[in-house]
Order: sequence, then structure tokens, then C-alpha cells
Amino acid sequence: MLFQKHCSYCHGAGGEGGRGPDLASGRFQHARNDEELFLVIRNGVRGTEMPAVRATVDEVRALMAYVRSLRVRGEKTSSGDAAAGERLFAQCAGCHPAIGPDLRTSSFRGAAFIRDSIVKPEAEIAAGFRAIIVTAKDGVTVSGIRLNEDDVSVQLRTADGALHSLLKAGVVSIDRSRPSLMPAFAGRLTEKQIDDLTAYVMGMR
Amino acid sequence: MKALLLLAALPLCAQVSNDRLLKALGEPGNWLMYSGNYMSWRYSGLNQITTENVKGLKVKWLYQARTTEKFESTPLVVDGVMYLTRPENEVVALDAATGRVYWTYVHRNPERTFNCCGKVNRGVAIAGNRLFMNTLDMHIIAIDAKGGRELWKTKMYDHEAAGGYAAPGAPLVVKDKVIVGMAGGERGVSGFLDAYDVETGKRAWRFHTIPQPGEANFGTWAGDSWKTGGASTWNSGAYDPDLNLVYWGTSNPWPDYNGDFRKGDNLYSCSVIALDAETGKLRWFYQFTPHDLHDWDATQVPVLFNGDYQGKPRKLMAWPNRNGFYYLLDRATGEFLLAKSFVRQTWVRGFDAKGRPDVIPGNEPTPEGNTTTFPGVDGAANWMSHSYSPITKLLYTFARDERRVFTKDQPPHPTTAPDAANTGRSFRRRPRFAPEESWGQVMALDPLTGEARWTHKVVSPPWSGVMSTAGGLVFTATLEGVVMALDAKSGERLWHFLGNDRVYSSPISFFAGGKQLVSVPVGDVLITFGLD
Repeated sequence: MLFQKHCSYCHGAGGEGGRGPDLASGRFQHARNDEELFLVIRNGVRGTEMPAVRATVDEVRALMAYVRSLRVRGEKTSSGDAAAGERLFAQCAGCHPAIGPDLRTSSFRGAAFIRDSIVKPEAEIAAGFRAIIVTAKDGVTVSGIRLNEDDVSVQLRTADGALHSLLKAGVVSIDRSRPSLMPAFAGRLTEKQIDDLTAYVMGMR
Repeated sequence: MKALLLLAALPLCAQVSNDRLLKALGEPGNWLMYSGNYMSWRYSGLNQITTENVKGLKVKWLYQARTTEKFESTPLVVDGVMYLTRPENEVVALDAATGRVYWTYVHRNPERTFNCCGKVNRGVAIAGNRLFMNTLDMHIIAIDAKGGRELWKTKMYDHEAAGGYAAPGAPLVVKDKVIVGMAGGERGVSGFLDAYDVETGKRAWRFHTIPQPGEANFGTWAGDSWKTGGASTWNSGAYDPDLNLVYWGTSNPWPDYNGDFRKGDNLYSCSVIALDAETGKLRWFYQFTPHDLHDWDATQVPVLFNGDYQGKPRKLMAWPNRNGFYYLLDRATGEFLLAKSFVRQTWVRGFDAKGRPDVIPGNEPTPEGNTTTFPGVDGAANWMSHSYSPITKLLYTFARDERRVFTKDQPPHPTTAPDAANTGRSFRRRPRFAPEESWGQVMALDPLTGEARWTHKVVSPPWSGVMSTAGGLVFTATLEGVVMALDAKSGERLWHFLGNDRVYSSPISFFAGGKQLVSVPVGDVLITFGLD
């Protein structure tokens, strides 16, 4: 209830993030330990939109416990064989973490989420990993991860890791219809293999 | 030499009389109040920078605020001196021609302040030789414009009361009073608008934005929800000297996304109020969003203009609102004249003759998250300034057209069931919409009809306002920091500068060092542009 009252406005009803960061990741940019987490909640964070929370010391401690508990939500285990998953992961390692998210440090969302991400990667794309295809006036096409875009230019990283910057004055079109560079593995892996891969990925964190 | 010294010293002795404020449009070289003039036009009568030569605009000087807070300030410029606020609550006086600092006044807030969205301040007001700044810990302070000394400081309210109060908006001087709003509508406060004597700091009046027992319109909040109903006044207002009315917008009712315990229209939340400048008494109000459930604050700055509406000259008010509709009101009476959507909207079928929206069911926030309601939670319009040009007779606005999620939280009202109501909540995914589902658009609206004359689309929903000029230009900046000048007649981008950081403010223009200059904060730097 305290969380709903003080925090959910920005961090979402389940701490999933919104205007404020995802609190279910278990990683807090401004709090390396309980003492710092206490001060973050009690006093807010200068230079950010995080205000002081109007709560008593006991209430802040209750909020800390709740926020810490968010991390273990979601399915904690997978029925798959992590060792078998590790062998399968060899085909993923070409992109992760070179051009795809670093799975050792990305937010923990439970087994179902990881499984979904393998089967339907385009369903939810992590911020900073959205793919676009830019066609320039000279006919050159650049396909990669959109790193940045404004009304004058666009920056990408291609699968080989190279960085590209194109001025929009020289761009004919930007194709955003295939937002994930990751192939969908539904039908390409068996259900058992997907479970194995899920188990391995869960153990990476 | 003696004469030169005197000239150089003159600016710091400027007296901004009431007459100068009333005739601010006649002083295009200065920027005397937050919105440029009492009609909130954010229009500059300067025409040295034109559609023809704007391509030659260059950076003239920078002011480095060295802050990690959002830099939302609109500076004032008075006879060659710029008065700028920097976070949290500091006033800087600098030479408007060079950016060199004359003095800095620092108000130190306590560690704990209860700002909603950053420790921000949007600027000062001036009367005579006094500058006025309101603070995050709910003070209004008068500062000597010459020396930067504090003249008086009045505590407006206990900033730790209820959910927490703060005052981030720019005050408005009207004759012998400085009018100040407050914030806190997401924390269960009770809104008001205050007026203080510019000489003494004594409070002249307070208008409660939620009617109190015994007052007219009391009883539009179920139970005792009126006590914590929000309806704050966190942005700036406008003033009509002929009608002697102060116009101010009010925020959302609280709790923002759950109206179960505040059934009723929740007056005067999400409204414009017209108050007698002498007494603070309500003359009229119009509620844009009765019983708001989407945090669609009506805290936009009111834009006043005169025009022929249906063949009759009228004193009008133009209002692109956070709820997705452009409104035209009669500012003498509050009469609703028209409403027209200017972004995607899903929640209104139409309006009755009095301007009450016919609401389409199914747009309410839901526990699992409503992802199909438009506009998004930050609006359509938000606090960033619109602009009206008396030359083109168009209203310019930088609209947010955005897809968001509306989640109905468990009711946090004190009268609800205890914590049990919230147990068993399942972990949910936050919908991540594709970037191309949302965008920004600078728009030129015919204020008499709400029809768009042109639209200039940009990548992201903005947090910058617009300024139009007599040079035929509209200046603004994108969230990515592209500062740009558009042709006021066509919307074509004629010039841009890559500032490469967030912009949370609205541009101004003024005259200094023999040149028309344009200033806008980008990141934590105030950038000032001019021609060679």
C-alpha cells in the first residue's frame, strides 16, 4: 500500500518502471547498499525527478523491503537443462553481447519472459536495441541497431559492430517494420531446446 | 568617457513600472515577464532576424548553469540585463549581450523537498526594482534587481504538509501584487493560488482551487476527498487589465488515475479559473476535464487574443489542452465556444453547448494497463508555452502525440481497505511501444476554428515551447536538442542548431549589444544566438 501511495505514480504499480526506472531489476543506480537506498527514498535524488518520499523512517524501511522483494518476482527456475542450453547458446554468442543485449546484466524478468524473448523477440525490444534499415539517396542501405535519432541525423551500429551516422537530408527512407535483428526461434528449436536455453540464460545473471 | 560610463551603468537601475508591464509588447527589446506579455503570446516584436537571414544565426554566448537538474527557466531581460533562474532556486543577473554574470542570489532549500518532477524553477517576475522567485520549500522571495539582495521572504505554506507542497512555476506580477501558484497534485495536497503585496510580502488573498465548505460549488467531491484533492496551480497565468481578471490553469484531481473515492466533477480541477485581480474572488471557471482520470492537467499558460467570432468582436482565450483538445473560450464570461482535437484522441464523442465532454467509456485506466487511450499521460500540451503571432494571427503549439499506458493503481486514499487490497498482485510487463507510435509536432492553428494550417512533425514528443517573432519565424527545440527556426507561414524548417541535449523550456528573444538575440536552455546551458 505504501508503494502504491508513494512510488507507483512513477515506477509503475508493480515496480516495472514508467516515468521512473524499473525497480524489479534489483539494480539501483543511486543505491549500492541499504544505507544508500534508505537515503534515496527518504531524501530523493538530486539531478533526477526522484523526490523525497514523505514517509516515516519505519515506512521507508518497509518500502525498502518491498522494493528488494520485487526482484524475486517472476518464475525463478526453469525446467530446462542449463548445460544443454549452454551448448545451444553458442549460436547466440555471435550477437550477445556484441550487438544484442548483454544477458549477464539485463533486467531479470523471470523464465516466461526469457522464453518469450527467444520465441518472439520482436514482442518487446529492449531500449537501445531497435533495428532500422536506412536507405540513402545514393542507394546505399544500412541495416542495424538505432543508437540515436533526431530530426537532422540518425546513428546506427551494424552487425559487424561498425558505427554509422547519416544526415537525414541524404536519406530517402527509414524502414522500421522489422524492429528486431534477432531471428525468431519458434519452430527452429524444439520446446525442450527452448527450455534448456532459458535455463542457461537465467543462470547467466 | 563619463557619458559612456553612465550609459553602461544605466541598465542596472531599471525600474519596471506597472505601465511598462502593461505595454510590454511596445518594448520588443525586453522580455518583461514569463510569457513576454500579459496575453501570454510569447511573441517577440523584433524583426532583425528574418526568414531571409535566419540561416546566418550563430551562437553568441553560453551560460553554463552546471546543474544536473532540468533547466526549465525562462529568463527575463530588462534594459540589457538578463535575470535567469538556475536549479534549484538561484537567481543570476547577467549581461544580456555577453552572458557575463553580475550577481547570483542563492536560496538554499532543505534536503527534503516535495517536487513532483525534478528540482526545477521556471523563472522570476519583476516589479519596479524587485524580482520575485518562488521556491521548492514554498517561499516567495523579493530580491533587489540591482544588487541581488534579499528584500523580503514569505513562507506561503508548510512544504511538508499533507503529501508535500512545492512552487516551481514562474510568478506573475499584476499591479501591486505578485501572484504565485503551487504544485503537489500527485500527492494529495489541497490547491490554491496566492497573491502577495510586492512591497511587503504580506499575503493579499488566497483562492482555494477546491471549494471549501460553505463556498459555491462545494460538494463535487465524494465524501471528504476534497480535502486532499490536488487541483494545484503549478504553472504561470495571464492577465487582462481591462477586465482586471487573472487567468490560471489548475492541475489534476488526486488520486490521479483512480477516481473511486472522489466521485463527482471534482471542481475546480483541470479547469481555468478567472479571478478578480484585487480580491482573488472567482468570476468564472470552465472545467476542461470533469472527473479527470488521466492526469490531464489544465496547467497550460492561457493565451488571450481578440478576434471576430461568428461575426462579432470578442475577447477570447485560446487553450490547447493536455487532454488533446484545442479550446476557444470567451474570456470575459467563460463561455465555451468550440473544442477541436489537435492530436489523436479516443475519449470524447462530442461536447454539449456548455462545453461538457460526452465521454466515451472504455478509456479509463485499468489495473492491467490501458494501452489504447489517447492522448498519452503527458498530453497533447503540457506546461510548455504556446505562442500567438499578431502578424499571422495564428496560434503556435508544440504538440505531443504519444501512446502511453494508463494504469489504475490500488486506491491510496486513506479511507480504503488496508494493505490486503494490494496483495497477490502479479508481476506485469510494462508495454514498450515502438518509437514511431509517438512523435511531436509543431502546429500552427487558426485560433478561431482550431484548424491546423500546418504541421511540422519531429521524432519525439517535446518538452519545449514555442516563440513566434515579427521576423516571420517560430523558434523551438526538440527533446534531442535540435534548436530550430520554422517559417511561421509554412512550417518549413529554415535553420537549426544541434544542441544535443534535452530541452525543457521555451525560447525568448531580446535586444542586446545592438543585436536581436534568441536564448533557449539546452541541457544545462543557456545558448544565445544572434546574427553577425
